[in-house]
Amino acid sequence: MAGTFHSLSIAASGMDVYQKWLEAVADNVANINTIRATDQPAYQERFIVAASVEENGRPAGAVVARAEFGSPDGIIHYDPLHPLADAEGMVKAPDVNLSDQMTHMLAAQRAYQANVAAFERARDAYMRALEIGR
Amino acid sequence: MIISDLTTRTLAQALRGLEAQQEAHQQNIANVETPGYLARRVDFEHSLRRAMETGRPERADLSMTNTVDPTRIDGNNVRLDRELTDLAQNSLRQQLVTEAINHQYRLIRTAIGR
Repeated sequence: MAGTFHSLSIAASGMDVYQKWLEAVADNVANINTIRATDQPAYQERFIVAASVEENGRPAGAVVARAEFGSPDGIIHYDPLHPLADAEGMVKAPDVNLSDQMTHMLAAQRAYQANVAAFERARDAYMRALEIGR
Repeated sequence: MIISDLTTRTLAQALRGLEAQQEAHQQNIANVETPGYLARRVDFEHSLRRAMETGRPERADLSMTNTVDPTRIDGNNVRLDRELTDLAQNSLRQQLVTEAINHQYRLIRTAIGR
């Protein structure tokens, strides 16, 4: 992957990781009210875990190492009018905390923006290098 | 030879060093949320000065080292503000070195009358 414009691909890999993280957060928030029957697993929130990559001692950016999932137990609460309620009137809501998700979203967004800034710096540097000898 | 004199070769090596430094900063920014990641640095300036004194600037050490700054709770010690300011500084220094190389070439052009 160590091409001519290597720095650009490092920044691009970072953008990719935080894009996926933002997608995971969006998915979690979109499913915050996904109610299920008590005998089914609840919607599990997703966390992205990043890992750094190096090729022959040269930095090569970041990748998504894996996703981690929240608890399938969810939060059981009383809602007898819900169509999925069981005999006792209980349903299962996902254990997703909106404050946590918003915090993760901010972190991912800031990291994404930083990678965009890094990309622009690299592009400027390469543009400048192309001027050598003009 | 004037076209590859010590100044030009040193400037070229400085540009390589600055590129390695830029890659390290970008790696750190890409891994700002990677658990257990330690920020990398490339400190080539002292090595370049020593190499220049021996007349072989190409021997300057451009290798990356890990920092030992205290980490956050997830074992990561990247400080985004520092990385971005260092990257801005790195970018300006690349412009400076590029300008210096161009200046060298302009001198040669003047000398050969073109």
